[in-house]
Amino acid sequence: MATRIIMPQGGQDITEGTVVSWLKKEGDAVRKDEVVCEVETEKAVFEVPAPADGVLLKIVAGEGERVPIFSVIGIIGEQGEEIDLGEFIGGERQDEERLDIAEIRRRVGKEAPAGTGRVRASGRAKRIAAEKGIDLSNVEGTGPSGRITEKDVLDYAERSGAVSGTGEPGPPTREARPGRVVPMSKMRRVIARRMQESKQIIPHFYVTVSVDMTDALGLRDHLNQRSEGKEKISLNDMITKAAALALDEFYQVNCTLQDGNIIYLKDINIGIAVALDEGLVVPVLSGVDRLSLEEVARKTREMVDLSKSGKQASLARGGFTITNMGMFGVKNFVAIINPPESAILAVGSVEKRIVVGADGALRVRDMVEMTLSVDHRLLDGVIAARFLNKIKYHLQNPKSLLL
Amino acid sequence: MAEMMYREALNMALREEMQRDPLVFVIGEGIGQRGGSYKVTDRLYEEFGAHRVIDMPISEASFTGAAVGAAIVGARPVVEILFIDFSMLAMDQIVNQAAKYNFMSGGKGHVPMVLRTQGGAGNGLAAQHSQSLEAFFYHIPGLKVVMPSVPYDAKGLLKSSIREDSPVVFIEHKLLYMTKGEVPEEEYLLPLGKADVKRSGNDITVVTYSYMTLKCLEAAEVLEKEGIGVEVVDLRTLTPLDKETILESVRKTGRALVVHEACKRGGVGGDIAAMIMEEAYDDLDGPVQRVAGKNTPIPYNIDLEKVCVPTVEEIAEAIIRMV
Repeated sequence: MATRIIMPQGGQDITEGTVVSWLKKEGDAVRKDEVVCEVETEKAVFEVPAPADGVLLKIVAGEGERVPIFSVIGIIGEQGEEIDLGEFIGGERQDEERLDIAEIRRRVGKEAPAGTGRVRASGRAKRIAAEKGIDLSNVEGTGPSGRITEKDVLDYAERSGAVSGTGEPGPPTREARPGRVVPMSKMRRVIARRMQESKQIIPHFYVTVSVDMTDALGLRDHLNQRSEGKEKISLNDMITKAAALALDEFYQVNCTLQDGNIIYLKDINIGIAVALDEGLVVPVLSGVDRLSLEEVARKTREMVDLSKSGKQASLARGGFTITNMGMFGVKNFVAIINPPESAILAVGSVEKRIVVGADGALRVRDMVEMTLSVDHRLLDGVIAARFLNKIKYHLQNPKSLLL
Repeated sequence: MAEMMYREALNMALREEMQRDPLVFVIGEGIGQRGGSYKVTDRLYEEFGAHRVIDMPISEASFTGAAVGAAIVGARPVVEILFIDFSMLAMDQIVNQAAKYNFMSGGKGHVPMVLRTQGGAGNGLAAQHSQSLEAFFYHIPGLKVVMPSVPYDAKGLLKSSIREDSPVVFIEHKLLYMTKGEVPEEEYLLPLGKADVKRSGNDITVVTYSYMTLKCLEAAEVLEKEGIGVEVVDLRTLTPLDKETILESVRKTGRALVVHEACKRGGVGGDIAAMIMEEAYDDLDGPVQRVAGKNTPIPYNIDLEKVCVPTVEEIAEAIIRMV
């Protein structure tokens, strides 16, 4: 085990010293406390004793050399011992350079740097939003320069029916009645702002197809008859699954636009528009391509229940949304893209219609119209049409949804 | 450009200013024929003689007071106080006289003096020779506080301090005297109150000064390999404080860490952190943090001394926690 011989300080305002003479040569045996060299500082000449028994392995500072105090001037060790000079002479700096970052990360409990998404919200607002599972991007800030404050989060939570943190009932909401003037709720204001932005900024174009849902309905009924205690599957679940399969194939559609970059998303997350009394929320189902039809049905129901009880259902970022007005008897409608997503699929109601088959025969089939709204900055007509027809294919060949 | 030690850069600054202005003189303990305990006044005695390089008995209060008087009547004294710990003996002269004179004379009188001293731990000099006391002076209106980290800054700022018409407390660090850096051959000045971004990065701003700048740069270098971009803002002067450079950096990175060797309690870092919170709250991703010395006297034992002041590892850990 090698030991350092150190330039002594020799006075309290001394910063360096000079080696005057070495009394030992490299390779000489030395005994602990035996004088090995003489050094001179401004104040006096000092004799430097050996710090240990052994052999003078190395003279680091030769005679006449001036070095800072506490630096290594020589090394004592065992005969023939191999030493790493750099490690020995460096002192503190060398020790510090061998920082074990992995160890620090383990200690800190952070394996990788966090992302840098910034929301203008107070720390308190962020904490409360996290506790209540509220996505701050839906909350309107009323603080200085639009900062989201604690009150904004609590107001939002209350309006969307979430349990208030204080346990006290908030003020009653003013109902809409003919002749009454009612201030917009926070949720309405957020919807208003986002939809207005979408229509003002995003150049939408629209593609519509008619889909024959007869076989899909047949498969749905078949699955639901046999499902003892299992989740009931809806047509909407089948459409969600079909869209996931199409997005998997046409990955270019699964993207968002940010600061002039097109971000192609890794995961297939699909937003499902859910109507509430107050307005509309879009919980996001994540990793739909990896879910079975039954899982899609169960998770969607859970999300919709959560949303309706005012809880934030999911924090995943979607690239694509499905909005379904099938239950309201509309032939077809056109939806506004939910920024920053690239597209939204609007599904109308299933109607029995007479269809002319390829063989010229007339048949009664269950038909639905779907319109895809697309951000023309990101995608062009051809890919939109091919993507939409892929959804149509999966719905008209519904067994593909079971794979 | 020549490479030279921090203390040599200071020596050059003194020599150039003494050659330029006959009213500049240096006064302190052991600065004459002995050339100063840290060799900052080396060979000035030979060149300028005993009436401009004045050795004094051990009485900080008296020779600091003498310098304040000399400054009031038009000279430009540069006082050397051996350890910042000893400046306590001259506190009345610095705080109640030098700092107040311009204010109390309705702006008619000036005290163009520089008080050079050195502080900091790292040489096993024990509790009375290792303190970092800049906060004492930072707290006093009427004093400027300068704390350079590299030879280039040390020379340019000392020259500006000598030409400054108000009292400047110029604090060096005992571990910096032997450090080397590039210094131009030609004359130059650096303005007081201007921080220097010693390294740029996008993920976090580290605000620091004096010897800790070197430690922060070391941490930044290691963390760059980890994909963390650390911006190191070296304040160089504490008063005037360059708020703009600090805030500009924080607005870019969204995170701020303040690092100083002085103990955390009542340190300059608390004031800088509060200023960032007041002025750039919405640009912050999280609270401003501080890495500072422990709230303890500095121990004589070298190993204990090391853990009382921030280490590169502590700085790196704080950054990893924040990013």
